[in-house]
Amino acid sequence: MSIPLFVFLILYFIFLCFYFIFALVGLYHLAKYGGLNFTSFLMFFLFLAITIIILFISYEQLSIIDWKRSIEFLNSFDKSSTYF
Amino acid sequence: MIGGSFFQQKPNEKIVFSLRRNWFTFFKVAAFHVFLALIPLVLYSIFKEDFTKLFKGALLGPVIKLGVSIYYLSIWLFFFVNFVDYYLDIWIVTTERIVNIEQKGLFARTVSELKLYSIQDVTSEIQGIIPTLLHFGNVYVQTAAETERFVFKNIADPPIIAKRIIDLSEKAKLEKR
Repeated sequence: MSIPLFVFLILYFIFLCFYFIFALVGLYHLAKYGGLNFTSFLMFFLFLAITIIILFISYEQLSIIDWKRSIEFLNSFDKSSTYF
Repeated sequence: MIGGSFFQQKPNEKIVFSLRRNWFTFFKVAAFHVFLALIPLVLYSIFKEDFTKLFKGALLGPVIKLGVSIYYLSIWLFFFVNFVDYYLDIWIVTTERIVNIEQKGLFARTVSELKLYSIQDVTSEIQGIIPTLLHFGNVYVQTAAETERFVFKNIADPPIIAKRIIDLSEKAKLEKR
């Protein structure tokens, strides 16, 4: 049985969609109800900055993978087992 | 403005003070998230060679990289949601009333208020080693209605706050007569 590798990437993008929905709701709450002050601004900025850093590092690591490949399940596990 | 659109100040009303939970309550949550973030780094530093081989695996390599990205994004999102929950919980004490704005997760908020003249009893409580050292605890405000009880959770200097609320309550009662 073989599955294309990009299936995992699609699952990752679905996770990212949920992440951005929750992030937007959180940022909206902070901006609307937290008031215009230094703490709100700092957390707003920090959240976006750290998110961008994590996504950038993820992109760096994921962009070098050939996602068009298909993986033979049993063969892959056989090969992987040699790495343990 | 304090409390955002949930707090509408009346014409002759003045905000005396506003309170948030003590910083230590959020520090505990933050420390737990830092601990979670450090786990993969510590494991990687211990089993560096094994992980390097795993990352080269045709299937496991990409899956682990995606998993690590999801793990750190999740930790960061939960940290942020916890901060919003902590930061948007606020008690506003005015010359007329106490307004309690409580954020429950991201999708729920409770706003309640009580009139200062209706306060019957105010109790402060500090329990535990850390609350004693850092001077934080709870203040319970009881009104004439038996079921109605306001709780200021984990606020700084509970006895001082209790005293200030009693003073404001007595003043409000005198003004109402």
